[in-house]
Amino acid sequence: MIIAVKKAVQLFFGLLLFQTSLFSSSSVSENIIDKLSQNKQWHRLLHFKNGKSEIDDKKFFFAKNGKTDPKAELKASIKELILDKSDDENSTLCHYPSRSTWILEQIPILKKEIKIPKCKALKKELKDLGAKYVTLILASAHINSPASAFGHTFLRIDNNPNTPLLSYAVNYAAQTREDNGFIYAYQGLFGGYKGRYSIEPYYKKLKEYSDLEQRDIWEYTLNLNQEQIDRMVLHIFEIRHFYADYFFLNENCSYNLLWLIEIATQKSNLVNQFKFKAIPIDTLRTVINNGLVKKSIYRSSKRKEILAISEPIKNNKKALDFAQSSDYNFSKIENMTKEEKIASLELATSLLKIKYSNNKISKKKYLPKFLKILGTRSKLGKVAKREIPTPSSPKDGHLSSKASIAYITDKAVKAKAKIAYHDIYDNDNGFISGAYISFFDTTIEYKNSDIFLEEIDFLDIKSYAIQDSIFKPISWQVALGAKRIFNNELNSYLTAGAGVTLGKDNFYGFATITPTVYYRETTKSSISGNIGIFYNPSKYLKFGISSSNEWFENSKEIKKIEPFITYSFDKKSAINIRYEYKDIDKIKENDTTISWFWYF
Amino acid sequence: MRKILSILTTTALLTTASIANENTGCGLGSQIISNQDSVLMQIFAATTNGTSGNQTFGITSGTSGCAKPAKFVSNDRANEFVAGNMDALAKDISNGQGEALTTLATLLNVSNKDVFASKLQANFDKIYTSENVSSAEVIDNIVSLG
Repeated sequence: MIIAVKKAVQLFFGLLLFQTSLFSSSSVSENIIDKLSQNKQWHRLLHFKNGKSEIDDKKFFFAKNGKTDPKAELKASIKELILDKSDDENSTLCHYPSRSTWILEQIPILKKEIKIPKCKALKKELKDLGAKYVTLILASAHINSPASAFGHTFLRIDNNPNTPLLSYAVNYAAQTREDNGFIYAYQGLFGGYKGRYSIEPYYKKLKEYSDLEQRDIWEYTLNLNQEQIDRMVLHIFEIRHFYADYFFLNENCSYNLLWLIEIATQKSNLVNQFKFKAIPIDTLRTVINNGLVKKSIYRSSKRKEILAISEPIKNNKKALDFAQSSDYNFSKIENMTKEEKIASLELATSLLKIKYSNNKISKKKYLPKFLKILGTRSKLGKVAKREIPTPSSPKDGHLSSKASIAYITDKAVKAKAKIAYHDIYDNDNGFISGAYISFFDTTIEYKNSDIFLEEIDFLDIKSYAIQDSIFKPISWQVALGAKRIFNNELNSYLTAGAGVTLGKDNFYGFATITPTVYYRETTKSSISGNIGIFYNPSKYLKFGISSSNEWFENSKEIKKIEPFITYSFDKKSAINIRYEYKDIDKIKENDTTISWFWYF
Repeated sequence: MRKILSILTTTALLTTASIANENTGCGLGSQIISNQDSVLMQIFAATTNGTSGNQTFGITSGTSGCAKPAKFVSNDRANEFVAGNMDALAKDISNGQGEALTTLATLLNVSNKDVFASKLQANFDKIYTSENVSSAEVIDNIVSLG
């Protein structure tokens, strides 16, 4: 019985659909649909690339084969617009405002055939947003986390350019609460998470990136007119309902912003420039190279702000002790100059906030201290605003992939290539100094008419985080891969260690201790002591010298000393000369390597 | 030796770092609190540039549930901004300058922002009367300064 009813209902709706399709084809000719379905903008609106839409949410499509057939989807969307007589927020037009607006622009006659709903909630949201400018935001590296050097990008929608704290951030992210790194990486690489666009106040993003993670923020105002901005915003309000499988390497946070920018401009070709990887900094460069950026503004991390605040007391132990204490005994700073007092109190507030953010102090203990220091500070008047110099822009750094060819004095030739990103031999201009990360770095060697795999590093991270008067980060490093060692056999290895780095941004020295486990049939382990100095006087020159001593469990020992110099011609090329001295169980070797670096 | 090294390597990988979590409210001390997490997770999170957390899609900040000030009811945007930036604003008022303070001045249509900043700084104790002061009270106290 129920089945019969279902069938009848299906038949009824089938007839209805049949009729409307006749209806729609009467006003919209097959010709027009055919032409429009090939329009690039229609493909953009569907996030259509390489023969299919990147949106994986079935609800995004009206046609069954909408994911792969833009024409079927256009037809079905038009039909749905005509058929839908509802007047609520879930009506086709309010729920799919981006494609609906476009279709109605392209086929104005349709306006007479469809019921235009009020979309009250949507209109209110658009009004509250008041989009007049769009800014592309790059959160650069998180201190002591080279991995974050790739940056994170999101968009900011501004109403008034003078009050960014009132603007909204549009962010594309993978939705997950996973806290197991391995599962996270696996799922992320293979599209196991759903990616969605979100919108929230910009000040919240700043709290997260600038305050908590101590990242520098770069703001790039986009060169878009009001019509283009409106188009982008409407698309955001449509696409927010749907998900796409999130792929960390290409269909990621920054790549998906390119769709929004392309939809706004209706002409730029951004998305197609990224095939198997989309590093945020590269997507930013592409946007800049397409003439889409009007101006850029630098917003320093909290860490730099704190160092600037404490400049007058950086050598004043009493003042630093006061700011880092937990009882804030004001008598300790009573006899200082007004400038020193202000610096002590402002530093104390900043450090207290960090303590609270890191859950090191309870809210109950935090609040009275916070207000007490602020109250005291407020009695001392103003000081001139402290200028924080703008560092070299991330967009000016070398490009993120690298291939190199090297000649070694013992008549070997090495070819090296890696997906990304920045290693110790590269100039630090545009990068956070001391933050090194390499991905899938492969070395092939040609020697004595033999060609073989010399080394492969899946991941190599070195974080030489400089300690200063306030912050004392621990430097660390991790590497995983396979290299030739012990009778020149390929062994897989895992290294992880820690140490200390001192100095300043362009001239610093480190000391680390790194245990390593090797595996080839059996496991072997070692522990290594490493020291080194890097000097990066300009965007052209970088010098370095490092030395290590690795002790193996069978009491074997490898000593190494390696000075190098790199001269960078531009963002795309550099020459590197390196001398290596090795002492493997008293057998001494030395050779010089000349390499050509090509960044792309 | 081998065991010790393996343990060392693993420990180094699992040393804690942080990800963000939020502690919201209408008063002071509502801010992002970081959770401790392993370096391993952090490396993956950052290298793969994924952002964790649930989807938010709000033109409001989530502070619209906070009480409204008595004397300045018409300006929702200002109420919401103060509720969302209590600590930053307190710090700026105490310093007599800062972005949160300038933004508030704009929201309140203040013409002379320097005078406004100095006045608020001089009256810090009258604005932040206690650690339990709510955002609505802060706005009322600022407006009362005239």
